[in-house]
Amino acid sequence: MQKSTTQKLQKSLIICLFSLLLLASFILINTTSGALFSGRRLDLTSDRLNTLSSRTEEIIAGITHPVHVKIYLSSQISRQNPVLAQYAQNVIRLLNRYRDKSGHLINLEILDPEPYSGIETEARDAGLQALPADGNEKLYFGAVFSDDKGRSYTIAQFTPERFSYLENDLSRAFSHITMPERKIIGIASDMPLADPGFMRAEKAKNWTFINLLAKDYKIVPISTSSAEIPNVDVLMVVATGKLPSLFIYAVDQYILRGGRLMLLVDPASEIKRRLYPGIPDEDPNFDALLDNIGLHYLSAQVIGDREQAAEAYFAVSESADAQNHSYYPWIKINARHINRQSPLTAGFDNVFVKSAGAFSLKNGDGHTVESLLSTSENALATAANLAKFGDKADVLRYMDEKGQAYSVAALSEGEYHTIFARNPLENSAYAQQILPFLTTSIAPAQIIAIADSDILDTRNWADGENISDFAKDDYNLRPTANNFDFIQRGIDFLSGNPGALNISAKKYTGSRQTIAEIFHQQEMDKRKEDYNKISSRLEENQRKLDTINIMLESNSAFGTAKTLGEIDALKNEILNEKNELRKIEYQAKSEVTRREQVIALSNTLFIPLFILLLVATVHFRLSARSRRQARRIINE
Amino acid sequence: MLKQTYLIFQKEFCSFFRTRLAYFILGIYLFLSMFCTFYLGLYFDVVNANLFSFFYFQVNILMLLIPALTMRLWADEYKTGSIELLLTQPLSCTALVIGKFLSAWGICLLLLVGTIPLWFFTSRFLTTDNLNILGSYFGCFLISGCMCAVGCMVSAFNKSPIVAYLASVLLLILIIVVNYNFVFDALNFPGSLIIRFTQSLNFFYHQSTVLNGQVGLDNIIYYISITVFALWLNRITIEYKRG
Repeated sequence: MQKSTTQKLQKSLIICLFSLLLLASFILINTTSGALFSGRRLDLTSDRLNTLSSRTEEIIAGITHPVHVKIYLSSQISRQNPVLAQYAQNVIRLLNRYRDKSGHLINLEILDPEPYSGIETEARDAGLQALPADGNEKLYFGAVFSDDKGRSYTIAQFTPERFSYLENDLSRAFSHITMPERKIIGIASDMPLADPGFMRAEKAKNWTFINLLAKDYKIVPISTSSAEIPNVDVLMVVATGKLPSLFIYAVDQYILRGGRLMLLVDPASEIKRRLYPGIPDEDPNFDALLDNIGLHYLSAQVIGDREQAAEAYFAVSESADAQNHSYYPWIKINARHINRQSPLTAGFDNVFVKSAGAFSLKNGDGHTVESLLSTSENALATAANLAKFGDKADVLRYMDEKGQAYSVAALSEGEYHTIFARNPLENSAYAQQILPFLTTSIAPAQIIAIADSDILDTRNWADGENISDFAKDDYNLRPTANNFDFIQRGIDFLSGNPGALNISAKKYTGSRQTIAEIFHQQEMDKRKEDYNKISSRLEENQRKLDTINIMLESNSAFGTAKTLGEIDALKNEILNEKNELRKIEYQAKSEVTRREQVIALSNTLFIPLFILLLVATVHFRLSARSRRQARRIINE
Repeated sequence: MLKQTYLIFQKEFCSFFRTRLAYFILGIYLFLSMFCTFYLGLYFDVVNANLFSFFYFQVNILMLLIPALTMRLWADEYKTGSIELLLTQPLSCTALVIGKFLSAWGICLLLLVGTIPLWFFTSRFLTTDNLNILGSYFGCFLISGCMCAVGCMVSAFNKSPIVAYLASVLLLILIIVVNYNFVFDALNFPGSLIIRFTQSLNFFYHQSTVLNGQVGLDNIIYYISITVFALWLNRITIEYKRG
C-alpha cells in the first residue's frame, strides 16, 4: 500500500517536472521564433498593405539611434468613432512593422489623452488636433516622433481618408527625425502664394501645398523684384503672368550657377481668377528661358485632350440645360501618359491639370530633356485668352486639332547658356552688390517645368469635408489625384533629399467605402435627377441674389421696393429649395436605414436557421442511408 | 494508429450530431456571430473589405462556445463510467486524445464554414479583399484548434462537464484576455526584452496579426505549440488514469 502511494507520488512528480519542462520549452520556442521570424511575414492582403516599400526599409535602416513614437489615442474613440478605431489598429500595426524592422530602435508608446489630464495637455502642446466628439469631450489620434537629440515631428491627426498615404506619412516622419537639417525652398510668384511673414504670423494664409511642404522644408518667400536669388536649395517659381525681366535675369543666373528650379508657367490660371480676380491677366514671359532649357513653350495657347478630358458642368448652348460634359482643357492625365520610368512620376495614377499650356521638347547642347506628363497623340489647342475670358462651350468650339502629343511637365538637366546678350545691370551701382554675370553654366542644373498652376489647386487633387485653399494640415484631405505627390517628389528630387521619395500611395483594390456609404450613394443615384434639378435651380437663384447684392453694395440707388421684393422672393425660393434638397437626403437616409435593418435581421435570424436546416438535412440523409445499409446487412 | 484515430474521430464527430449538441452550438454560434457583426461590429459603418466586423468578435465568441463542445469529451466518459471500457480497448492513448480533439476541431471547421455566406453576401456590395479574408479564416481555424486542445485537456481533469466548461473558459480567459505586461514590468526587465517576451507570448498579438492578413512562422509555431502542449498534458492525464 505504502509502496503504491510512493510510486504514485513519484509518477506525479515526474509528470509535474515534465509539465514544467514543457512550459519552459514552450516559452523558449516562442520567444526564439518571435525573435527569428517576427520581422518576416506573409502579407495576405491582396494589395500588400502590410508590406513596407524598399524606400521605407532604407529609411528604417538609416535609423541609428532610438526614436520614440508617442501615439495619442483616446480610448473613447472605439465607442464614438468605430471607423477611426478600426483605422487606429491599422496605424498601430504598421508602426509595429516599422519597430520590428528597426531591430526595436523604435519605441512605441500608446497614451490615452483623457479629458483634462496631463497627457491631454501634452498632446495639445505637441500640436495634435482634436477630433470633434460627443459633448465637450475632445478626442485625439495623432503621434509625436522624437529622438534623444531633441528633434521631433508631429502627425497632428491620423484620418482614414489618408489610408493609402499612411506609409508615406509615417516614413516621412521617420525620415524627418533622421534627416540632419531642413532644406530651404524659395518660392516666388506673381500671386501671393506664401505670406512673407507666415513663419511668425498666426493669421497668415498660405496655399495648402506650401503648408504641406513646410512640414519637411523651410519655406522662404522670394520677391519677384529681386535681381538675385538668395541661397536656397530649391527655387519654385509660379508664373501666371508677366514677371519683371530683372527677376528672369535672376532665375537665369541661378540656373547657370547649378540651381535647382521648379518652374510653373500657366497661360490661363483658373485658380488665379478664382482667388485673386484683381490681379491683371497677362501671359507669362518665360518663353525665352524655357526655350533655352530645351522646352519650346506653346505660347499663349491652352492645350486640350479628348482622350483624357475631365467633366465640367456647363450648357453647350444658350437654349440647352447645363449638365456634365467632357471639357477638353481639363485633363486628367492618366497612367498611360505619365512617365513610369522616371522616379519623379513612377507609380502615379493620374494628375489633374486645368487649362494648361504645353511644351515640345528638344535636347540641346549639354543638357537633356525628359517628358514627365503628356497629352495623348491627338492634342487640341486654343487661344489662352479664350480659355480665360470665353465660356466653356466656346472654348470647345474653337479648339484646333494639333495631331501630336505635347508635354505638360518635363525635366531638364545639364548645362546651359544665358539668354541675356549682356548683363542688364551693367554700369549700375547695384551690379557690384550681386554675384558676377555668367554667360554659361558653371555647374549642372536641374529644372522641372510644369505648364500649369492649377496643378497646385487643392480642389483639383483632394476631396474632403472641409477642403480649403489654405488648409494647414493634410488630415482633412483625401487625395484624388497625384498632383501634390508630384510637387512633393519634385521638391524631394531637386533638393537632393531622399526623404520619402518613391513611396507612392498604396493602391487598394478592396473597397474603402463602407456599405452604408454605398447604399446612400445608390439611393441618391435614384434621386439624382430631382436633386440635380433643384441644385442647379438653387445655384441659379443664389447667383441672382449675389448679383443683386453686389449691385446694391456698389449703388445704393438700386435698392428700390421692387428690388427688395425680388430679394425676398429669391430668399424664399432658396429656402424652399434647400428644404427640398434636405427632404431628398432624408428620404435616401431613411431608405438606407430600412435596408440595413432588413439585412441585419435576416442575416441574424434567417441565415443561421437556413444553415441549421441544411446541416440537419444532410445529417438526416446520411443517417437514413446508414440505417438502410444496416437493415440490408441484417436482412442478408 | 491512424485508423484508430479515425475511428475515434468518426464516433465522436457523429455523437455531436446524435446528441444535438452540434446543432445547438452551430445555431448559437451563427446567431452570436451575426448579431455581433451587424449590431456590435457596425457592419454597415466600418470598412469591411476584410470582414473586420465579423472577425473582430470571433475569438471571444469561440472562447465561450468551444469549451461547450469539448466539456463532455472526457468528463462524460468519467461520469457515465464508459472511460473504463474505453481504456481497456486496444486503443493507444494518443489515438484517443487526437481523435477526440480532431472531432471537436472538425465541428469548429463546420462552424466557420457556416459563416461563408456572409463573405459572399458582403462581396455583393464591396470589392472584398479575398486573400485577407481567407487568411483570417485560416487564423480562426488555428485559434479554434488551440481552444479545442485546451478544452480537451481541462475536460480530461474533470468529472463534471459543467466544471470542465467553466474551468476551460477561465483558462482561455487567462491565456487570451489577460495581458501579462505587468509581470515583466514588475520584474524590471529591460524594455526591448519585455517587448520581445510579451509579443512572443501574447495571444492577442498573434491573433491580431493573423486576423489582419499577416501570417508569420512565429504565429503558426505559437498556435501549434499551445495545441501540442495541451494535447500532451491531456495524453499524460489519460495515461495516468489508465495506470
